[in-house]
Amino acid sequence: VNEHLPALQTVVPMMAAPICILLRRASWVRVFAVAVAWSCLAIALALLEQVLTHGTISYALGGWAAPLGIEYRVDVLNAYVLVIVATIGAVVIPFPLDGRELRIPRERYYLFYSLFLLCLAGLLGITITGDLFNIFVFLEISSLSAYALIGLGRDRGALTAAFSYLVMGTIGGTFILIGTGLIYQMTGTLNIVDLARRLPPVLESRTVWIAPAFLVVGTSIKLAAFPLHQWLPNAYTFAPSMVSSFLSATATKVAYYVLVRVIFGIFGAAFFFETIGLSSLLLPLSLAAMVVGSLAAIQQTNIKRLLAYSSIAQIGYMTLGLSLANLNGLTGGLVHLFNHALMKGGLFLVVACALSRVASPDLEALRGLGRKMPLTMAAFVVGGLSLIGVPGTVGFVSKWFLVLGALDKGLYLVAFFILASSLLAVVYVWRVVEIMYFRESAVPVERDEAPLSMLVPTWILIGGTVYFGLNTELTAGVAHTAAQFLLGGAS
Amino acid sequence: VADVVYSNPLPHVLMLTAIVVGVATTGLGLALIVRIYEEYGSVEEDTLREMDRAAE
Repeated sequence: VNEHLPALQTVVPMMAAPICILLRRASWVRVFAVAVAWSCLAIALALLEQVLTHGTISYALGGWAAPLGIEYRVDVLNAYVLVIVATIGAVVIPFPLDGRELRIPRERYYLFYSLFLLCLAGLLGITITGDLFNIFVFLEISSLSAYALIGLGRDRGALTAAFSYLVMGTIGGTFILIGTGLIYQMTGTLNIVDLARRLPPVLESRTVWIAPAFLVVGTSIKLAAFPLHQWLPNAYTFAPSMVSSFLSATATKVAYYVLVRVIFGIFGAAFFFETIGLSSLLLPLSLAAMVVGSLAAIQQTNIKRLLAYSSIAQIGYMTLGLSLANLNGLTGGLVHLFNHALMKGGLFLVVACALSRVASPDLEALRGLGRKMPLTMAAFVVGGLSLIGVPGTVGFVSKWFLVLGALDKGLYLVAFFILASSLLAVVYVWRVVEIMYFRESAVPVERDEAPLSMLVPTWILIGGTVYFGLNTELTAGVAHTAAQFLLGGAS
Repeated sequence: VADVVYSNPLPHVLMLTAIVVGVATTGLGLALIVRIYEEYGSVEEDTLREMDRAAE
């Protein structure tokens, strides 16, 4: 079985999705989906372990040898991203579905799990495949199921949010397809490793110059990089909180991975950063994302929308790490993938816990919740501290590497921006904390904690933000190795 | 075999896949539009925006 692990990583959740529809009973389907998600995590961890000990794994799907066949290629970078996606999937899937957040009745919950597993399969597929066209196909699998998942939100705004995400996402997907087509036209291959070999001789051609523009803009839409982020706030606000948690922690991370792969794996860092000068565009946009996202978050009155805007700022940190294009900066960007997945996934689960007791996600409705649900709200405080980047949390680790990366390049102003936007994060986190702990509720408050089945997944993610903030060996270590691999391996 | 002229099958496969993806996307998009019409009673974007604003 060991040698087929790369195929199983996507085949298991993809086959499980239709089985959910056959099983039908909500309780059975839930147990089954949890088992599938956990086996995905086990496979991802086994792959990471194999890659770290034996180096890159190449798997010929269906026995067709690369570059003609589709190759699944697992190196340090995507093994790391696989672990992120699978971890979040495994933690979020057991979270109980709440009828108050979903539009579908309990008899149809099996469809939710089916979509969820399909989305998971798509995200894992994008990450593991070594074929550019295959990335597009998996991207559409994950995106289509994500649109449907968002449309399941209780509020009717979920439908319009899902539709506008569908329009934006399809434009992004089509751009990636056009970019892929242009590259194929020039090189006659779709395999990423083969492309890296065949592109340099034709790098002067205009066709090859247009292709990366399409690929970068397409993935940036999926990534919700500023200023292509307009679909994100509505999508995360109206989606069921559990879906917001999963998507905010995985979908944008995978898009970031694709962007990194396109830049370092296909064209090479030298082409993007020296010939085109991507940094001069990406760096100001990342700084703008950090500031504008945080400022917008401060003004929100809906906690989910607040977290969504904070995501845009956090994505700014990731692209900032990319635009620095040195070892520390890239390590910071990559480690922030994992760190942001933990904290934003955890914070959206906190919202899901709160919404099981409170009628609306408006900040005003959260008054006095600090005494009503002390455990849930303590999780929010810890997650919020991590968003700010307090030492001892994962947010600090990412920002540490980013600041180091900026200083390595002598960009003192950028380092200052990183610290300034952390102060903005203090403002929006404090607004929520103040309302929860220091404002009196209109109705008398009784202790009414979310059930344990909700608290455990939430605290696993939030606890992770502290654990990996103190014990950075695993995450920062792997991210460092991946960054070294990218900078050293890129021609 | 070297002299035989044949068309490259790969672009055909890519296009077919892209068409299938396009059909799936259109299907989902239309399904969402039907649901939007059921909920809002309109598919006019300005009307939808006004209704959303009024609800806030």
